Amino acid sequence: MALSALNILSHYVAPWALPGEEIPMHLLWEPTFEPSRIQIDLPPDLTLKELLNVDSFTTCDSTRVTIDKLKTSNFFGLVVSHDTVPQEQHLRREIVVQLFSGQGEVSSHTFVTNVYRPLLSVMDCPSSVAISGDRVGPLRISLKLSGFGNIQVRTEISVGGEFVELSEPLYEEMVRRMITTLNLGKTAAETGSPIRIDPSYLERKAKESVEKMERGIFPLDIDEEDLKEFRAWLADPRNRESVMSLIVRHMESLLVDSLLFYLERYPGDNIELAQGTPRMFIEKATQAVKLRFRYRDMMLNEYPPVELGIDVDDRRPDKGRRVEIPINLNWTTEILSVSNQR
Amino acid sequence: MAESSLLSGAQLGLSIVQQLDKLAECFRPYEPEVRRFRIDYLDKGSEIKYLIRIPSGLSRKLHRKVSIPSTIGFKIDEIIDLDTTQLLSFSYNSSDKTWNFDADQFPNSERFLITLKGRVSEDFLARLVSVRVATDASRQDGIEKFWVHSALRDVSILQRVWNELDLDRVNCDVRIGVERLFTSVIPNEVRNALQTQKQLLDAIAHGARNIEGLKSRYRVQQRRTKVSPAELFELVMKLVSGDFVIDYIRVSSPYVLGLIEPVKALTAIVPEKLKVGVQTDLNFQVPVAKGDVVFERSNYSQSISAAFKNLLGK
Repeated sequence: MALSALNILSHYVAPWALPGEEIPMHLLWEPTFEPSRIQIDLPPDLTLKELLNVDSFTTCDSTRVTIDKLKTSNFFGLVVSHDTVPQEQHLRREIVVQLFSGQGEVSSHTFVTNVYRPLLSVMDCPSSVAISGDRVGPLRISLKLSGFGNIQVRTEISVGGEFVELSEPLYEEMVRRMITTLNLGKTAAETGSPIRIDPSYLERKAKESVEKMERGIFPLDIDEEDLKEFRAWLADPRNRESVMSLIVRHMESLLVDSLLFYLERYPGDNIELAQGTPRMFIEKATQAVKLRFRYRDMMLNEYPPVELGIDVDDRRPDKGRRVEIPINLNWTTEILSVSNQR
Repeated sequence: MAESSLLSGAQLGLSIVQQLDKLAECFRPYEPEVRRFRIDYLDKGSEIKYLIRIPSGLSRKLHRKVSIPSTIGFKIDEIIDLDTTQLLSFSYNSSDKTWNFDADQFPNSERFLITLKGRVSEDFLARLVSVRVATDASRQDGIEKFWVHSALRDVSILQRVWNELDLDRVNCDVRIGVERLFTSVIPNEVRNALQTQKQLLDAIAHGARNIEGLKSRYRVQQRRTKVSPAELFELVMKLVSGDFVIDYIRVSSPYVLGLIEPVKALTAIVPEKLKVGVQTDLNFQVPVAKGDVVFERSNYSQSISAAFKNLLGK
């Protein structure tokens, strides 16, 4: 029962959220007012996740929540979320709260929140690439990020069959170097100024690499013959210590690599390339290449990927040789600012 | 000893309500009254202040010894004579693990304030408070903003002491991405120098001959950029440290700034995010809090750009 007039002390709803992110809201008033009932009307695409400070309530069609009793009479809160990935880059949603005392409605409050998503699209991409020599000019692709928020992009490539994710360049580089060093029977003779790297990092990275190798995970583009020998060498328990020392010896150059990788990984505002700048290897002239850019937001929502088909026009006399096609990505970002409309 | 015995309350699975019941039981003859119940969200410490009345005379003679088993999860921190504000003595008996005092030894005052300290579990805090922060920031005019919200979730577990409850330093961690900033401020010539160094190291590793050209290019670039990967790495680390970043972060009231620390992925050398802790207090009068954490992205970006220029000696 209302003891005195309602005096609102604080009302709030989180102004924006990504799909699936929990959106908190609350209403706080002077404890002298005790509502007999609180009615909350939710848009159908918002899901009720939690009620704060509520003792008993009922729901109707999952869009109307009626609170009969609060635990302490001066506030309540609720948490909602938009659980599907929307087509639109921006959805504006209203939550209406009505407070009743015995006689009828005392006050009504509208809370406005916004659900945003990122959207990746292709602005420009060649439909074919011509290979005439060993060096192929980079494939220039212009991508645009619009909507809201940061994204992480993973590039996958398919040369006729399944899409394969490009591996992490650092690891790839490490394996390639180890194999080369091993085959040449050489040590990295020349080292520059010593680099101080966190020793625990070094150890961890070395262990990770050994584990990957032991699990048989190798970069795709390493020559089969080389790999065979390397595997045999790796499998020999007598070489266990050499494996670690070989990895550690390659660490200085790996630090240089990782700084470069770090720079490549973030090509622009709001964009992270999980594997750095993508590259593509072509082996057979007849291959129709497909590139796929998978992306996800900070809530790890995965969005429908962007796919590109590229015809390969191989004009080389020796068509069997592997050739690398660098990919040059050009980014445009057009991020929405959060709507101030209430 | 005392510290480990504090765990036993939780080990025995006593809920905070059961702990409070048991404490009240220990003080029952003295009409215990909770004066303040404080929980520190950050260090999970709890503190309860009881006002007890020990009249001189027969009652004191009958119930002179008070013993609190440490298994309850609370230890005595201090006892104050409210009439004289004098601190009174108590003891811990390690053989039966109890906290004890003898009322008969106390002065002839009537009112005493006893402070007990305990610990609450992570689970308990999660049931008590809801803490939420924006996963991604809104961005406008070079300013990044994250919303933060905290609210008491369910106080019924503490209803009896609810009016005296203070929940201090309720912490929300905001994660600010800084990695992207470095890409734009590291000049191309540093990048080129790194590229050359990579090529040189590659060539050496591959046992290539005729690398004199590459070597001299590397030396020229080294002289020009005057920066080694290690220095570059150290500068990046400095620029993501709390000491440096703090000037670019603003927090709206009632929140106050807590700890700033870089967050590093397991496999990364360079931190990618900054974890910024912001804190507020909640209680019966203020059971909810809302605010914003603002990161002055443009200004920060300008500063790191200047720091790079400085390192490169321009």
